[in-house]
Amino acid sequence: MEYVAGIDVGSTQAKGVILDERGNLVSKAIIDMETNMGAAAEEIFQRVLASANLEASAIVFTVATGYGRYRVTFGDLQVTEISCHARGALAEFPWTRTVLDIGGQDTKAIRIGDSGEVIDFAMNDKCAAGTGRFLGAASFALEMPLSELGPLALQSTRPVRITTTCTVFAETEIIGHLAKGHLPEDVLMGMHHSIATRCASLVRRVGLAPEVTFSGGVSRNQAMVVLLQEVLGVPLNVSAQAQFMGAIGAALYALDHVRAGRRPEHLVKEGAR
Amino acid sequence: MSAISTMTEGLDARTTGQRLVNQWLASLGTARERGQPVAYVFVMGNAIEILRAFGFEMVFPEINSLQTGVRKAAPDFIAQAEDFGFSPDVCSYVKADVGLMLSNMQHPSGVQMPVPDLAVASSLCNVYIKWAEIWERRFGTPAFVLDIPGKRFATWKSPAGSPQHLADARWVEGQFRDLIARCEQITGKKFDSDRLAEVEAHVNEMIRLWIEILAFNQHRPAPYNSMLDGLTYMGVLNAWRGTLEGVEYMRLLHAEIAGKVARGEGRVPHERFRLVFSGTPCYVNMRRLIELFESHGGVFAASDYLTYAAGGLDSAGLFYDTSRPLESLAEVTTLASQMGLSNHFFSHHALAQQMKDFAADGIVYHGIKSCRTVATSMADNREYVTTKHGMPTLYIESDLIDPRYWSDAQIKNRVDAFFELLEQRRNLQSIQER
Amino acid sequence: MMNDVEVSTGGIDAADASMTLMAVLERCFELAMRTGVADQEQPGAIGYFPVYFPEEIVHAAGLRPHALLGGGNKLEVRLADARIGSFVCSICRSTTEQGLNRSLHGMKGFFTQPICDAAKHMAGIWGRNFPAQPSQILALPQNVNSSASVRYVYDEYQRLRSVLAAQVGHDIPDAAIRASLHVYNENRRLQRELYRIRRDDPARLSTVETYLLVRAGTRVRREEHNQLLRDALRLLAERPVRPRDKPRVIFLGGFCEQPPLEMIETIEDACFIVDDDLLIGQRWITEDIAADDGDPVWALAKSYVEHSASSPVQFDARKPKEEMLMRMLRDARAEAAIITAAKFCEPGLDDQLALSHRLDAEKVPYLVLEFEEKMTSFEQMAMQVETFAESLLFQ
Repeated sequence: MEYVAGIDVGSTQAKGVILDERGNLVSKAIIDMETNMGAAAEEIFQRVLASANLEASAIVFTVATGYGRYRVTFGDLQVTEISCHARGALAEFPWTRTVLDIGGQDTKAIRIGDSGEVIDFAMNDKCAAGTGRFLGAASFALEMPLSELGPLALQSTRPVRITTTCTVFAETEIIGHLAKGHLPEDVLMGMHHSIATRCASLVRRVGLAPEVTFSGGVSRNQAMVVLLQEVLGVPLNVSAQAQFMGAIGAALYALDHVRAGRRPEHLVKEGAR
Repeated sequence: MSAISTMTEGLDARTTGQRLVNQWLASLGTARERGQPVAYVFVMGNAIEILRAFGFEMVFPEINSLQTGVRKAAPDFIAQAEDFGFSPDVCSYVKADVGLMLSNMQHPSGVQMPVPDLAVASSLCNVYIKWAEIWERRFGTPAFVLDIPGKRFATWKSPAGSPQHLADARWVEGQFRDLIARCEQITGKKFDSDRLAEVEAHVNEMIRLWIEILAFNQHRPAPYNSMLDGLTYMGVLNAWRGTLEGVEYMRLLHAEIAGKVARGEGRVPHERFRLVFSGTPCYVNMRRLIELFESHGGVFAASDYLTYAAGGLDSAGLFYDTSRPLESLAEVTTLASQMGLSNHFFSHHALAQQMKDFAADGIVYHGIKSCRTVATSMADNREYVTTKHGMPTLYIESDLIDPRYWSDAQIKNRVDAFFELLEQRRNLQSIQER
Repeated sequence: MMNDVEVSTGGIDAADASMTLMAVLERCFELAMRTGVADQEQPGAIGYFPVYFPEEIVHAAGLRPHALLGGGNKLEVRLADARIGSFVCSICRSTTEQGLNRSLHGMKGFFTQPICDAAKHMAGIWGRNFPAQPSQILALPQNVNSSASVRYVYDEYQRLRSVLAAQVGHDIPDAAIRASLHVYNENRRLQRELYRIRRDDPARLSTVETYLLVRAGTRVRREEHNQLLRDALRLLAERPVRPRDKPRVIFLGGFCEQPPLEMIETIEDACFIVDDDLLIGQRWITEDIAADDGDPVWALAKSYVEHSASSPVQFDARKPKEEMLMRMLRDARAEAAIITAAKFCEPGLDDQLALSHRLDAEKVPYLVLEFEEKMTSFEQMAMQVETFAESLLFQ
């Protein structure tokens, strides 16, 4: 039995998965990022191997993805997380043709073809509004953990309209609304709505083709799921393994190469720049 | 004896071109000493032919500003302009120029830029006019605004000699006459129509060669990268427009590129993907931007930049009729404006055509945060081209010269993903063809 | 509704007069705040992007000129963000949104002018997305200082005339244009009267009221608007007025993008705005156009070149912005200026700096504000304005 690995080195977390030669998920692991991306990559690899009870030599092909993909020294190939998310989403939801991934630092909308190939993509990674970081500002202002924001927002009956488009001023606006006597849930729902609107705009830019999959850390926020479905007007697929979608996609690319008879030694290595 | 051969024996066209641009910049620094009047002009719409006939030395503030980007001096100049009170949202070229003014006109090329006797601001970019207003206040040089009517809508057709064309050309000619009167005032010389015809003859030859040079890139592999080598060629086209040196350079360049085509020599060793570029370069990271594409075997065979930033004459496909120099100048300028220079607003058809002509695999749109002329409707244009023509497109964003807007990791990510998309597409197409 | 707009009242006889004036103002508010064009509007509306448009020609064709003034601060922009870059003024985005959300579906055509680069792009965006509505640039010149300028504007106006004639299916005779010129001359005279009151008797008529009175004209036929203005002026004359002691300021901002009403109110709480360039396009022509002498289209073109107001988006060597500013301060007998520009408005932001420098040199107090049409919170602005007004009162 041969195995492949997918390593996703993001800006907030590092994830790893191992698949067997038939594409079955053997193990997965996730850690918070350290400042040294190379070290984090090494660590996640060790964890996912340990979890599978395998030696490194059992892995015949490793694909690295995420912003830190070039820091994965043991990676055989680097593929962007855009392609990997598309692939990972299709594997779990074979009818999905659009993926919206809202992470802590960036958001991507990807339109994919029948074979999981990327047709178009759009990203928001310069501005924090429209990413998970906007919720981070809310978490700070309300002194609540991120995981509690969604459930509280869902209790809102009169959402407040949030007009600030900059995360820097979001806290000030939230505090202002609370001072005026608005309920926290209404303010929160307003913030969620603001994010949903911006993300929906990204989706429209690439073209909404059903089914739509919502992935990334923020997909665990139930309020976001509800709002996005409302704003986009279609139901959303949400994976229980949303955080691993990129790593799974990477591993699937590795499997492609193995099945095509291509081994790492056949590749011309592209060095990190 | 050729004007440029002595200095360029054995050098390739690109290096020669760079030397010519530097030579021209250096000569600007001595214009005052030589008693030459100085005109500030812009690349999209000007009356260089008239100004050359009067012996003006031409300063291109756009080139000054892009050079501050290339030479890494932009951040300081921009900071000075913002301290002076200019909003961060204002065009970065303008801010770099304000920084130059605040630095006693000392340009990072080492040249002390002369102040203008005349500033000609065309209406092809409204910021040109606001820019000229800044010079009015700084130097006391009255702005001459040259209004050149552009395309009114996407399918606008105004064929040469049609009533609409002649009405617009009459307007442009009227303004040219006003400009001539102003030049006579400034220089004390009378307008010489023969001299204008001479300058126009040189431009005609340069444009004839330029059109062929642009077309050479339709060959496979493309002999040059329109967004790297092409920029130098274009720099000479602008700075030396209407001169003997300019003609000689274009002949040199033409011969060199023709040779490459004959030998099948491409810009990129293994050309894998041919691309069209829409927008401006990122001058502060010019090479890096191209490297990100060339490292994947991608070459920019064509770009709309080489048309609109080079005067647009190639789009008109017309040449000056030197037997009626002033009338013809007005007629051709009007056509160039409508077919080439004002195309940012309606460029979807032209880009699709370029894709066909150059057998391109995709279009790269480069949005500029501080340039609304180039980038306002890029996202919409892209959406239209992607949907209606099913063409793969990439959108990346930075700035002309402000390094604060360049995010290497983010841009590389998008470029890499785009090439993955192109590869996947090609693989699928070859599977389908089997 | 109108609750937060201050209307001077007092006295027994005044009650009826105020109620009727209130009715006029409420009607104007309702009209002014209409942003869409009904599908079934007949014979049809032609939308035009700021600043100025030769409405008389549209009027003579029997169509209604509909000034596109953006989506205000109640419109939710959902679809336009995918089409337009983020570094573009909001009015471009909200206008595109109104196209995409079908609220302008009833329009019979769309025009924009070369006021700035973003505006020129609107013609391309509109044409690609709404091919059923002819979308064009009316190429008004940025050079009005040539002896050839009038002829050029004339030719472009005749081109517009033939486009509209094709739209309505019949020629637009000179007689119709003459009649329209008369209607609009009257309209501009009535607007000038409103501004005279603001300057000479500012407690009688507020800027918000003026704004609504003027903006309403972009939503109805001019004849109806003339009647509204005549009624308003009559009732204003009878309005009892409570004198207030507030500093006199002018308010300049280019204003393609419209400031929220709350912004104007915030300033008026502390100051009398005795002159401004709000909706300047509506009173762009500063003198009566000679409707009955010779070619009426020539007269219209001539007025554009020779009798027009000034704006950051129109270059005119005869009207340096600093001179126009000082003249307005003088003529309006204002002691200070409030200068603003819409976020990302390049012409406005450039001019703002030049004006600030001149005001510094002349030692005229001024306040600089930035705004966006979609602002909803004004506490910060109120604080700035109040502080500014206090500093004026204490001089």
